[in-house]
Amino acid sequence: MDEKAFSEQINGTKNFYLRRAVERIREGLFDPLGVQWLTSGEEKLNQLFDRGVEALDKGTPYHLCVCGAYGQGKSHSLTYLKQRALENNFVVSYINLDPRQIPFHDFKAVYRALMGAMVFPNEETNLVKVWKESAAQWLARPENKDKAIGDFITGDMPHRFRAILAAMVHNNMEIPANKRKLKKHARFQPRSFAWTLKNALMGKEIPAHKLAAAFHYREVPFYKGGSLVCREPKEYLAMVKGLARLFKEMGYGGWVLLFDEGESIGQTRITSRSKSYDLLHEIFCPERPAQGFYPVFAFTHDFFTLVETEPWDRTRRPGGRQKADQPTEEIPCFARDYHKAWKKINIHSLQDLSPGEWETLSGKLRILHSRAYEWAPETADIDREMKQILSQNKGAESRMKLRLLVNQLDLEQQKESC
Amino acid sequence: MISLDALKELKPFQARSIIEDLRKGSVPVEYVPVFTVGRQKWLSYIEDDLENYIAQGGAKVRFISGDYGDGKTHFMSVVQHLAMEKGFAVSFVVLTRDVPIHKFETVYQSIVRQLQGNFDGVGIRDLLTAWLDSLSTEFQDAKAEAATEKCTALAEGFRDIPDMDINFANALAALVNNRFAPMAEEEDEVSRKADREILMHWFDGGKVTKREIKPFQIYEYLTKTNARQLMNSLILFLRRFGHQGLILLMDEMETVVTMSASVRNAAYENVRLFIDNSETAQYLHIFFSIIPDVLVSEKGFKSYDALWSRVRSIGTSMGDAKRLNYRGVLVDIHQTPLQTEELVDLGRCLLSLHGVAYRWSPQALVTDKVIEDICASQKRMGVISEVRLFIKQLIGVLDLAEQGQSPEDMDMARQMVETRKEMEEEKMKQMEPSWDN
Repeated sequence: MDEKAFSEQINGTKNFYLRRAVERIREGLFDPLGVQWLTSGEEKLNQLFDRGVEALDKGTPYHLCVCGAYGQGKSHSLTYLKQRALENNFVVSYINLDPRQIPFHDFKAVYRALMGAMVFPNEETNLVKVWKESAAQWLARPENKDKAIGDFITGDMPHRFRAILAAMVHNNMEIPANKRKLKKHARFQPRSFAWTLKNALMGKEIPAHKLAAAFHYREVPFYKGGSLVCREPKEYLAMVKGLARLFKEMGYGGWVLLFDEGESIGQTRITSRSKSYDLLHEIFCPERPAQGFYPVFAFTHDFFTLVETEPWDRTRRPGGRQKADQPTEEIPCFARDYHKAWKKINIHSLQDLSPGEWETLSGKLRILHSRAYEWAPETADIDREMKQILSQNKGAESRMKLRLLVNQLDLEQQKESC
Repeated sequence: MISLDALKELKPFQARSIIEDLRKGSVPVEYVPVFTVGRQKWLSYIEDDLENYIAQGGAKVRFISGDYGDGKTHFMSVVQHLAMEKGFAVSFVVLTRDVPIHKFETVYQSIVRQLQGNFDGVGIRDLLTAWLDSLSTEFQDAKAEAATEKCTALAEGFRDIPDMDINFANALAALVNNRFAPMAEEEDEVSRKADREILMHWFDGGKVTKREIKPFQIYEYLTKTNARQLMNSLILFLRRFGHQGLILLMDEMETVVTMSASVRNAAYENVRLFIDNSETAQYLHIFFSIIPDVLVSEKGFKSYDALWSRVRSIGTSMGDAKRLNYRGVLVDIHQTPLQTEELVDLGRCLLSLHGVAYRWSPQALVTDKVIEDICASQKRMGVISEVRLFIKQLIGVLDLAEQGQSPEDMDMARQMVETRKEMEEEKMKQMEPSWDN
């Protein structure tokens, strides 16, 4: 973004958002506005993203791994890609993986987080609303007049979720008031159906019997055709891929999934890591391409060092009870040697900015800070000091340099207010 | 900041409880505004943050760094009062072996137990009770059908709050039903009371079975996985009930340093998540108190890369080590010790308190000169920043003076050495490793 456009944008932004951007940089965090205004090296990121879009258009699978040290700008880059994806008509979910709250091996928790973080290109976040509108449009097309909504929902989704999506489009069955009190209609609770379906779609623990009632009274014809229980991580991954494809059918580019803190996968125990690698493998090297499915991961270099050094041939005793008279066969801890299997994955290693880029960034930061805290810095002096700070801290990571620059601006402002 | 009028208002037993607390080396949190001096600059920037950033929807984490006796807990108590004046809800949690930061669900329980705000009492139960009381006017004289409809409308309102956890929303709805909905045939007062207790226990983060909470359409109880989500929902509820946001004060985080590596890592990861959570959280300001050791020792934040890269000290600026950033993540009160005149002010305040507490007039015996002498002794020993030492020393002098001993006959230097020794022992006790991790 050039200086003129930057100044225009900053002038039209509420003070709170300017201040939040500076506050977050000071804490070593990133901010959507900060990303929009302070990103350097956009060209490379744009190229990478567009390469993925091209691949998906051709029907070939694609993924991206952004790799860098702590504080080098991985989250910043992912946020930039998120904005780029939204501009390119993709649905986007950005989540932070975390061994305690969102462990990758528990893909149900990951699914929940992805659904909770979903954003559509028009800033809409309500999937149910978007889906209902889209389904109504699809059913209204003349060529679909003899079709049911089930034909629009992709078949590779778990049965439970296909039924949920279908039920969302249907209306409740009409039950006359005098019959509602009958025992056979005890499950008829029309007010709770919408809530039940929405939460079930979001991955919440809604019991199958409660869902079955909603499907029955919403007249989903195929709901008895399969299990309404969904427990396996791979089923949730299939759902994610299915939704990505559905988004494409709905007219979006697909679903861009941004997984930050990917290195947290390596912080879990070996059995969990094994499950995570298995899921990653299905994402990096799928047997068949999933339309519209565009995953982006952020890893530190430590993660790939771990992948390189994992004991891939390690075995373990199977769990459960063993018969004393029969020798137990040891089973492998990992399905394969992933270090070998992932030789050709797409990795983008982050580089530090050039001195020129840092200088431009410092100027923007000065303007942002002065507007956020409503003060007038001595431009020449402060620019010189910021330059000096950058030259004194050449080896520091990007996050640290940004914090140092904000710190310097803070000190200057406090000197003024004394 | 000391209000002499407030001092005069104190009853002897109140003054006495303050002196007793100070003699033990603890902070009489309730009366902190009565005897607070200095650190105005830190406080004015925090006040600016509260008004112009947190109350507008921002979130922030800060670390209050100071050595034992520098006044970290006192400073936090001042922030607590300041925040409550500004209309925030506040929770002051002391991190101990029983409330370890590496178990966030336990910390959450403590947060809701210590919650204070624009309602009578302490804790989430009192908050919810006050909220239900405030709703009672809406249901006054409402017929059964109208009351049911009101309950339903409220429940839908809770569920429609963006980012509100569905379990939290349903629990609020269940409380409203429990209090205001007409009784069903199979219900009576006893069963309603039992249901209310289950719901309150759930809000407390207590152990409840899934079977107990299922009738209220609550499908999850507090776990490490959903604790943060529940906390964000609590903030949304607090906002709805007229608070500006939530201020969390977590004291004595330095206890983490003495723990085993795995516990330390889990604790640091949680702190890191708190910081990162401020990207998504709103109306929340968290303060952790730490000793400088946490920043410099190898077992401190340094040992956890993901956290260290976020909180590491910015260091000196342009070779000028004395320039403090008052907006920074680190509130370094060790670098801003009280000045002699501020300590004298504090001394005068303690004199008045001691006089009120023990019904005597210390001003004639314990003059400003005596207070200045104590400051000078501390300066000589290089411990001028230790406010706790000053307070203990002065209270010791006042105690002896009240018993008839003249301060001129006292050996201040020896007394100070003894007080320090006493404090060192307290410090060692605090730093003892815990064996239950």
